[in-house]
Amino acid sequence: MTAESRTAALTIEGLRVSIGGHDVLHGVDLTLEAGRVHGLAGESGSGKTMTGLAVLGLLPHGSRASGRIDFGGRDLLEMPARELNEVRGAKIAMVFQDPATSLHPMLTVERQLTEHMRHHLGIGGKEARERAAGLLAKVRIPGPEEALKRYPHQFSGGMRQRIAIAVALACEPEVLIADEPTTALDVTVQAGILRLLRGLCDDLGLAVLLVTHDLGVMSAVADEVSVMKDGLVVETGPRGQVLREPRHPYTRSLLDALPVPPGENSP
Amino acid sequence: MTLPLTGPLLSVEDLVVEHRTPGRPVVKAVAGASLHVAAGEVVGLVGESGCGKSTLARAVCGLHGAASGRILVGGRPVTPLGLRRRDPALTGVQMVFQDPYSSLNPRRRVGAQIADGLRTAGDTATEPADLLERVGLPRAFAGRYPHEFSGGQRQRVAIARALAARPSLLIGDEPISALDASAQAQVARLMRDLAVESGAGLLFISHDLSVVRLIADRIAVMYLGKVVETGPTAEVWADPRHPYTRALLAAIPSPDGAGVLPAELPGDVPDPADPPAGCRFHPRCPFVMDVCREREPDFGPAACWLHEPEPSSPS
Repeated sequence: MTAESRTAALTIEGLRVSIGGHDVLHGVDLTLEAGRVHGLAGESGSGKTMTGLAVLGLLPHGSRASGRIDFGGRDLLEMPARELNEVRGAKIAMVFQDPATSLHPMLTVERQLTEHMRHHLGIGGKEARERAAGLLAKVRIPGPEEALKRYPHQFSGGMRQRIAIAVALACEPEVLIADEPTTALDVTVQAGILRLLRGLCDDLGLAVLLVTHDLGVMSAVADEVSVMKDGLVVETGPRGQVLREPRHPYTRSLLDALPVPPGENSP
Repeated sequence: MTLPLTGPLLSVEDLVVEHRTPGRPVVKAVAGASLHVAAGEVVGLVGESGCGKSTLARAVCGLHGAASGRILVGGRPVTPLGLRRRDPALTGVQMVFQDPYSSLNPRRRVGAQIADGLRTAGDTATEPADLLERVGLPRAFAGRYPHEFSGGQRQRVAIARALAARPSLLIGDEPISALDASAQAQVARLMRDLAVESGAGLLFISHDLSVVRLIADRIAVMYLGKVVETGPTAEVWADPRHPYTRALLAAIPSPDGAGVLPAELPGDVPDPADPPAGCRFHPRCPFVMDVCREREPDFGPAACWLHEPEPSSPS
């Protein structure tokens, strides 16, 4: 069954997850559309990350998921591991919070960029290398050819996160899940990464699920915003509506908890 | 320990701290920074990662020797920590470190670790449990080990341990960056409240400007080893003068639902081993002038040629 909207890239319906008998998600519904950034907000422990991990089948051991995650007419939760491996990293990719730990410290950037490309796309080393250099240029790493030979520790935090994004984009995924991609970065670097994400989404028609607790970040890049609380989506809507005229009291309380900006000055 | 108060509680003057690695050029992590903290005052030190904030904090604690310049706490110079016991007068400087997972001893009960601080201060009346209570943890937790706590709770224990020594100056070196978003503001407020309550000064280092804005009375902005702007938090926020401060503030996205992408500061932080000539910010500055490439602005409160003080004014 395909979803009713033709642009829906991924649909989550009634997703429930329990870990060790504890329910962490109580029926989450989300729709990601191609070329749109869907923001997922909420406090720590509200189940934002678990939702992202469930899509990729990366839930911790001993957890049980039910409901439906529809991707291209197939239910990801029902998919055998072998087929899920074909989707994961190729069609659906993820960017994690901390670029210092999500990249392998002992492999060159080239190795990390080409390994899954060769596996998923079945291309040769030379072609993969050329594509890798192109990807680094796309995420605006200066000197892509030289950068391929270097190791993650030789880059700054912002550059590492750009590389992590390049790794995620290598197989031209349709869906990108970004779990707090800028939380570990400085604000100046964050601005660059947000612009990059927005640009990639617009240019490549990616469907992005942006998990973040920062409503400022949310306001800057997300088209749709969903707010989660205790494993439930309490409010979903266009950015302007959710952040300006929240309907749910919890969203209002999140917004009220922010420090009041006394007359923002423009740069 | 109470220290004789002459002038500001902490004064850092033209501090230079160098990192030396064999086979590499000397890196001046702090290159002539000046900073003052008064008793009962909360100063927020902000800047991008790699600008020398933490090195400055470590130098103030005596964990790093200074290559030149002076650090005075209550009028006494800070000497680098050696193998021997620390000068008792300097135990008035206490630090809360970035990572509560590595700054607490995993094999000792937290009560015993807090008792170390009490012993340092010669305090026999207070019990470790009293301090746990002050940081908002149940008294019974004194018998637990660090692994039994969450990150936010561990950081509270670390704060309790620092407070146990009755500090006159508390230093927080990115104390909230390892914590969950929801715990960050809480722990930052707690540090502020406890420091102000006990009359101590607080030097709060963070790269998160929104939190610094919540708790700091004054703010100092650091760029590539130098303090480029200082001022009362509200003033700096409303009217940032140094172009770097402006860029930092403009990069914070505001949650107004308008979908405005924050302004990006072009370029990367230069290599501190080879800082640019003249003003350190000039290669990235949108208002760069000829003078910026040649002479370094070494005045305050905004170290920028656009805001050069009148010739008669002091630095």
